[in-house]
Amino acid sequence: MRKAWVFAAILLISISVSLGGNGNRPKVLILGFDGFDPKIARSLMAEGRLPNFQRLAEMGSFSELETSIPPQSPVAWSNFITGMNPGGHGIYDFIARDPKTYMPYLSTTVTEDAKRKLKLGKWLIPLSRAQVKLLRHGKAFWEILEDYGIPTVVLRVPSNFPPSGTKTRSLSGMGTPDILGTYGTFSFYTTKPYVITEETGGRIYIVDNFDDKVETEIVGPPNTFVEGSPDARIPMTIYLDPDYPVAKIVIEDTGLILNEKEWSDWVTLRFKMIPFVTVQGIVRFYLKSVRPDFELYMSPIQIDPRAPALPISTPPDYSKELAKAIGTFYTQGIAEETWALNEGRLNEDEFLQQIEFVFDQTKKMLDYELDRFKWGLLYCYFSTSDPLQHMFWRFRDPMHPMYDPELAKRYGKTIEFYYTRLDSVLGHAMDRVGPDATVIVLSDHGFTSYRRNFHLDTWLYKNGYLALKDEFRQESGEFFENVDWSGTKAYALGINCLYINQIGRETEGIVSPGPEKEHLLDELRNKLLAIVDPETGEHVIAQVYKAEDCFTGECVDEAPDLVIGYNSGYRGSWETALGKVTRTLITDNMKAWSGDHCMAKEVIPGVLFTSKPITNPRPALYDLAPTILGEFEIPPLPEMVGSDLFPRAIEPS
Amino acid sequence: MTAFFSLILKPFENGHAHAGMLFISLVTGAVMLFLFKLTSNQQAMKEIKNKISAYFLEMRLYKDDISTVMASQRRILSTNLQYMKLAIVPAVVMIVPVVLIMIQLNLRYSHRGLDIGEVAIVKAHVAQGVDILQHRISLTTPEGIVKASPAVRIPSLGEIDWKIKLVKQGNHDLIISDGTRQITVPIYATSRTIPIYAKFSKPSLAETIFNPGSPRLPCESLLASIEVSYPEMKFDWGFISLSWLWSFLIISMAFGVVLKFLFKVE
Repeated sequence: MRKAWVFAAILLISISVSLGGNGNRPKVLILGFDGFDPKIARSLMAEGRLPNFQRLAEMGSFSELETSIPPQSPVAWSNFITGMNPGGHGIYDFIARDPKTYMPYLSTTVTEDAKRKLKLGKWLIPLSRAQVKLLRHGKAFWEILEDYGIPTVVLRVPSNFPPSGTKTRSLSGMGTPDILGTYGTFSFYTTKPYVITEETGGRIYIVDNFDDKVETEIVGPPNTFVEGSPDARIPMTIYLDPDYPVAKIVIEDTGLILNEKEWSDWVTLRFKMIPFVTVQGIVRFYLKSVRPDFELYMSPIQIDPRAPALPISTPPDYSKELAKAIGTFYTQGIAEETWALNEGRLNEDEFLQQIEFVFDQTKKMLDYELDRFKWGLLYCYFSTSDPLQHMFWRFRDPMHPMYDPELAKRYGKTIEFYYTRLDSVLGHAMDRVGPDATVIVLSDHGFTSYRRNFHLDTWLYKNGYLALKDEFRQESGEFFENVDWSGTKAYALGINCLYINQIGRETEGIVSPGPEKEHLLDELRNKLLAIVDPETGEHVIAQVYKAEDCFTGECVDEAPDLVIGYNSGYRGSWETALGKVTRTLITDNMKAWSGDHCMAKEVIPGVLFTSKPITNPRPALYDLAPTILGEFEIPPLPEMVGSDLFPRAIEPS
Repeated sequence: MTAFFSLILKPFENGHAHAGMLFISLVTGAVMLFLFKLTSNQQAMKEIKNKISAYFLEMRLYKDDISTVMASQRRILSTNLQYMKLAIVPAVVMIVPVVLIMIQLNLRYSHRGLDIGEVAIVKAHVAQGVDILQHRISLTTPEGIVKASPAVRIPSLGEIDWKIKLVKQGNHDLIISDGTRQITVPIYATSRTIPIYAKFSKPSLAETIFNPGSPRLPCESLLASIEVSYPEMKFDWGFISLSWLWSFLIISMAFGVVLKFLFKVE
C-alpha cells in the first residue's frame, strides 16, 4: 500500500513537470536579421507593412542599435557574441594582416595542416590531425549559458567557424568556407569564347560541345594526401538533346536531367583522395542555356552537412540531425551567391531564385527548433537581407551609377518585399514562442548606397605616405606587389583598415612608435577627413577612428592604427582591400554590388526590437550579451564592455 | 520464391523495414548455422580449433623463446588453412540460399517508392542498331505523374531519358511507346516496403534469376531495357546509416555468432 502511494506521488510529480512546461524558467528568442536597416524599417512600419515589428515595438522597444567599428559583419556579430569591442575579441575586418610579411589572412579562422606526414611514394599520409581554429577571442554568451546548464541553440551566427561551445546545438554561419577553403567559388562551364577578365568569385571553364556532348571536370579541393597537392577532380559529362532545351548531366554513377533555366536539387560529390579516403561536398547546378551557347552554372561546393569534412556544428552530429530533419542545406557562411551576380554569371531573377533557397532552409531550421523550444535560448540568423541589399540597392538609388530605370521598375521594391517576409518570419516565431518569452530582433548594421570607390592605398601613394619600387608604373599589384617598404609610412589593407609601417612591429617598419607615430596619425586623420570628391563636392570620409580611442581589451595590439569611416555613398575599394595601388583615386562603382555598410558607424546603425522596454536609449551591439545573460540571472563577465539593457528588480549574481 | 518472401515479410511491409531486416537476418543466421552443421565435419573442426588454442597457449608459455613462438605461429597459420579447407564444402552449399535471399532483399530494400514532389529519371535503351532519332519513342504519364522534362535523346549511347515527378500517391503506370507497340512501366509511389522493380529487360535466364517477378519487355520491342531511378533506401540504426547489404551481412553474422552457442556449432 505504501509503495503504491510513493508510486502515485512520483507519477503525479512527473505529470505536473511534463505538463507544466518550463514553469518560471526563462525563454529567450533572438532573431538576427543581417543588415536590416532602421530607415527602411521605419518607412515600412509607417505604411503598416511590418505589423509584427510594430507589435514587438509596441510591446517593448524599437531603437537604432549602435554598430561596431568598423561596421563589417564579422566584427559586428563578434561584438554581439562576446559583449566586447574588437579590442577584446580581435576581429577588426574580414581580413587581417601579418606584420612580418604584410600578407593578408582571413581574420576569423586559421587552418593548420597536419604537423607530421608519412611519405609513401606519391602519397603523404598525415600522422596528426589538421586543425581549424576560430580566431575570435573571448567567451561567447552561449558558452556562459552552457556553464549554467541552460539549453541553447545557435543557428548560423557569423564569426563562429568552427563553432565554439560543446553542449549548445549550433551550426556555424558566416566564415564557414566552401570545400575549396574559400568564402565561395562558383564554377561556370560555357562554350562561349569569353574573354576572361577579372574573375574574383568563380572559375570559368571553356568547354567544347562535340556532337551534343560536353566532357569536362569538376575541380575540387587540393588533395593534400598527394605530393604537390594537385586539385581533386571528378569527371562530368553533359548530354544535350539535339532539339529540345534540356540536358542530362552525368557525374560518376549519378545522372540528373535539367531543363534550360532550371536549378537542380542537391547533388553529392565524392572526391577521392587516396584509397578509402574521400571528401564529400554538395552542389546545385543551374542550366542557364543550351543553345546557341551552352552555359552551366555550378554553385560553390558546400561542405556536406551529412558528412562534414570540417567541423560545422556542435555537437558534431547536429548538422546531420538538421539535414535529416529538413533536407540537405547550404553550409557555406555566405550562402547567397553574390559574386555570380556581380560577375554576370547569374542574372537578377536567377539570383533571387538562389537566395530563396537559402531563405527557405533557414525558415525550416528555425521551425525545427521552435518545435522543441521549451526554455533557454534560441538564436537564429537570417542572412538574406544583407546580400540582397548589397546587390539590389542600385534599383532604389537613382543617383547610383548602375541605376537603370527599367530594371528599377522591376526590382526597385524587392528589398522592401523581403523586409515584409522577415516580418512574417517574426510574426510566426512570436506566435510559436508565446507571450511569456523574451523576443529580441537585431541587425548588425544598416545599409546605404555605395556609389563611389575610394582607393586608399592610391591616396597614400599620391600623398607621399606609400612608395613604389617602380615609380614608372604608378600602380602596384595585389598584396603590395610593387610597394617599396623602405619608403612607406602607412598602408591600407581590408575595407576600412589603415596601418602605420611601424618599427619593431612591421618587418620593414620605418616609423618610430611614440611621438612620431602619433604625429603621423593626427596628420593622416586630418588630411583624410578633408578629402572632397571633385565630382560630387562631398566629403569622402565622415570619421577616422584612432585605435586607442575606441578599442579596449587583450587584442588591442593587433588593431589597425586607424579605421576609416566612409561617408554615405563611398567605400574603400575592392583593390584597397587587397593592398593594391591603382592609377585613379576615386572611381564610380560599376558593379552590381551597389549597397554597403562599411562606412562610418554613425551612418549605418542597425536595429533593435525587444519585447520588453529597454533602459538605455542608445543601445549598442555589445550590450546584447550582458542583456541575454541578465535574462537568465547570470552576471556579465568582467571583460564585457556592454551593459544590461533591461531593468532588473534583482541584480544578477 | 518472390511470393514466398512477400508472404513472410508481409507483417513488416508497413513502416517496419528495420524489424523485417532483423527478422530475415535472424532466420538467415539460424538457417545458415543449421546448414553449416549439417554439411561440415564438426568433429574435425573441433579438433582443429583445439589445436589452434593449444598453439596460442604454447606462444604464451614460451614467449621468451623466439624459435618456439615462430614455430607456433607457423602451426597456427597452417591449422587455420586446414580449418578453411573444411569450411569450403559448407560455404559452397550455403552460397545458393544466401544469394537467393539477397536477391529478394535487394528487390525490397535497395530502393524506396517515390514521395509526392520527388523526381525520378526514366531511362530507356534501344536495341543495338536502332537509331533513336528515326523512331518516335515517347512517354505518356498517367494522372498523378507529370513529365518534368522533354526527352533527352543521346544517339551515341542509344539512350533516351525523361524526368518525371510524382504529384499523387498511389499505383501508376507509365506508357512508353517505341513507335509500334506500347509498354507499361509500373511506378511505385508508396511508403510500403514491397518489391520495387527498377529495371525491365527482355526475357533471359539472368533476368529470371536476378530480377525475379519483374515484368518483361516484349521480345520484338525496339527497346532493350527501361530503368527508373528510385531513391536509394538506407537503414538508419541510430548511430550509423547503412545500406541493406551491410545491414544484412552484419546482423545475420551477429545472430550467427550468438546462435552458434545455442546450436553448438563449431
